[in-house]
Amino acid sequence: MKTVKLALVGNPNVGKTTLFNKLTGLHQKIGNYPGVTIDKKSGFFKYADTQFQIVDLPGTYSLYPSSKDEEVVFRVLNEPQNADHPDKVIVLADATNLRRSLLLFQQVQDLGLPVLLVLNMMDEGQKRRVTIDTEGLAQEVSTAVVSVNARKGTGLEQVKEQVRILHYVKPPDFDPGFLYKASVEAVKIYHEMDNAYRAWYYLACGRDLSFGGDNHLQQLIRQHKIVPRRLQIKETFERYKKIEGILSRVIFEYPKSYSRFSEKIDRYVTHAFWGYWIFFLLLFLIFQGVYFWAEGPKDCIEGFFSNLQRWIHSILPVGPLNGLLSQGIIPGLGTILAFVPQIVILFFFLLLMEESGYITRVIFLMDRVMRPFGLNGKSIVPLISSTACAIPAVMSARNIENPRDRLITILVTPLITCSARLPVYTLIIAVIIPDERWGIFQLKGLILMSMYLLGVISALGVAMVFHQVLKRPYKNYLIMEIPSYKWPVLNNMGISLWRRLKTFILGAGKIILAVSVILWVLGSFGPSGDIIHSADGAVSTLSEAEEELGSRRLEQSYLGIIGKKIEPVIRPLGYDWKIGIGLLSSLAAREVFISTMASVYSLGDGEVFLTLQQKMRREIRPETGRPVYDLATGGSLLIFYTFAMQCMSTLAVVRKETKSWKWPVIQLIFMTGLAYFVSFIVYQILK
Amino acid sequence: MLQYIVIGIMFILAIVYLIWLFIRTFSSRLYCQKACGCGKGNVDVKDD
Repeated sequence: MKTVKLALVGNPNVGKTTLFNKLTGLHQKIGNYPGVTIDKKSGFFKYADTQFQIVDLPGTYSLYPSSKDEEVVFRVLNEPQNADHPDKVIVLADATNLRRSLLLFQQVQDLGLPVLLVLNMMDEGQKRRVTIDTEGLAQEVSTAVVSVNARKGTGLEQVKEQVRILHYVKPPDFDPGFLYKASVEAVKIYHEMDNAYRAWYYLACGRDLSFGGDNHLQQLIRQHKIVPRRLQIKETFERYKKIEGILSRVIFEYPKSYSRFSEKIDRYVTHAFWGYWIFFLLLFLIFQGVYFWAEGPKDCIEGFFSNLQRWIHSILPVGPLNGLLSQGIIPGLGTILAFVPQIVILFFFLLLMEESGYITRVIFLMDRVMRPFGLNGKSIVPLISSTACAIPAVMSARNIENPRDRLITILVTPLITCSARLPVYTLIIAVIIPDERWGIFQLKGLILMSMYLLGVISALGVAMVFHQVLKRPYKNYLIMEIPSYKWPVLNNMGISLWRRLKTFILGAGKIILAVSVILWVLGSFGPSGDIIHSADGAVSTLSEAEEELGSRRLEQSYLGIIGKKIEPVIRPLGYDWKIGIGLLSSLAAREVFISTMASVYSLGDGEVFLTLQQKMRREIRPETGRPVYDLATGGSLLIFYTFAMQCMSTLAVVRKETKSWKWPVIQLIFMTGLAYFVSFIVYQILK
Repeated sequence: MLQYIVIGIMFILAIVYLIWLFIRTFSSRLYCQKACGCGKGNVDVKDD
């Protein structure tokens, strides 16, 4: 079967990935804000005996790249040797902002590629009392024009049909002008090409992005005294002049007699004073919800795993396998799964903000806050994405044009509280903070919200330090379109929520399973050769002697020996060796701390069927007779997890994005050092 | 005895898995898969 390669291009946030998902049946991440897609993604669909390979490209306003993600578009469309170089191109345009979309459309068309123009959000245009004469537009742009509603999936069949029959390549009618004619001709001859616009485009880019590194272009630029940026400006002006003419003939706009819904809301949510209060009020309600609504489901999950643990313990014959399952694997997995309701609630609200378009208002508001710290509003996208996971967040910094701002964003993004920190925070807060309510508000919810705010404040503080150290090559500004509010599509939200949850459960689950096995073996065997499996005793009643025995066995095990070795290093922070084991194992991923604690306390505690929270509350320091998890140790531990770089995958992605080991190593050292120092101070003050 | 053999194998497999995971994390493709969150169908995020 013949395969036709398609490229899907368009301005940011016009719905390219939504259309891509509808055409291919895939579920790539979408969002009602610009910069969601930062790399190309390909998928397939079949239509009329033809297989189409479609590549979804990051959004761009023009073909001149100004950031890393936009360079991807440049390479795919300009390099015939590129594996994704398309046979045909779909330019997706926002019907409510055709002006900007047509600029990109014309550039792609002038490159000499067959292009289909697809108009999205026609319903939105109609709401704004804007009518587009699509037939007239098709004649003006010399190609077929199709209207779709990517969110609802209407108009897809027409897109497929028009793509199938699309062959016409419009001869470029771009006139380089008298001044640049000679240089354009020189490029055409040297690169053996007919297309004058492509030659102009090479000159206007002005750098060897894909021309095999030849110096000819640079020589030509010097010889003809060309300023590439000036060429880009000239082209943009001329194109817009032409576009204005087209729009005046195909768009009918009724006079605006009313204020739109979005505008009415934006008066408050982007207000210089009320905007911030509304944002903080929403955050406050979300974090209250995380505790309030998650309580019931969390208890159910804990109860289920506790019963499972008892059942496994009762049906399996006494022995090491019984111990491994009932003391190692089940408590390890059960404890982490108990946090799923909280994660679902938090992600649900974050997705609601993304899908509705509110997040772009937050970006706009935060731009003002970011500037004194050496960041710009575009840094907010990675920082907000980081509340889910730092890995895609670090990658999304690619849409920041300024390399210095991009680097600072990459370096501070892991300080934002990610989903892996959430279980650690909620567990420690539940152990050290009493169940107090202020009216309908929970104290725990307030503390959790302050931990998130601390993450943001620390990210800004560190950014300010880097701002002083690193030089800024040039100043740039946040230019972003604010999309209109949209009703969230529950299906999209469900898919995004499930994907994030799956990453959390499966990603962490596999590590937790492996770590639980290792911890149980190390905690059950010791150098004396004794085999220790306390699960073979009667553990249905609490006995001090049994507890003492369990604790001693654990201390004499390999795990106890390793823990005791690292204890002197962490003692100044208020941690005992068991917490040390948790810190060590969570180097792989932060959430492993929870399962490690569950396994460690199952092994060392006579009463194995208590919840982890109950076990942690019962834990006593032998030397003082006081609880291990008091305000000082708990506070110190919370602070440690706020600052420490306990994530192997984030280090790997920083190395990849910065193309060196230097920055991840610096990041690891400064974050761990900062975590140790601040935790030490907190413990010493609170103890 | 059989139980100890099973646990021994699980212990070795767990260590091998973590080492493999560490190596894979620092190889080029892991984070692409994680970032796009796809792992479904024929999606491929190519690395330039």
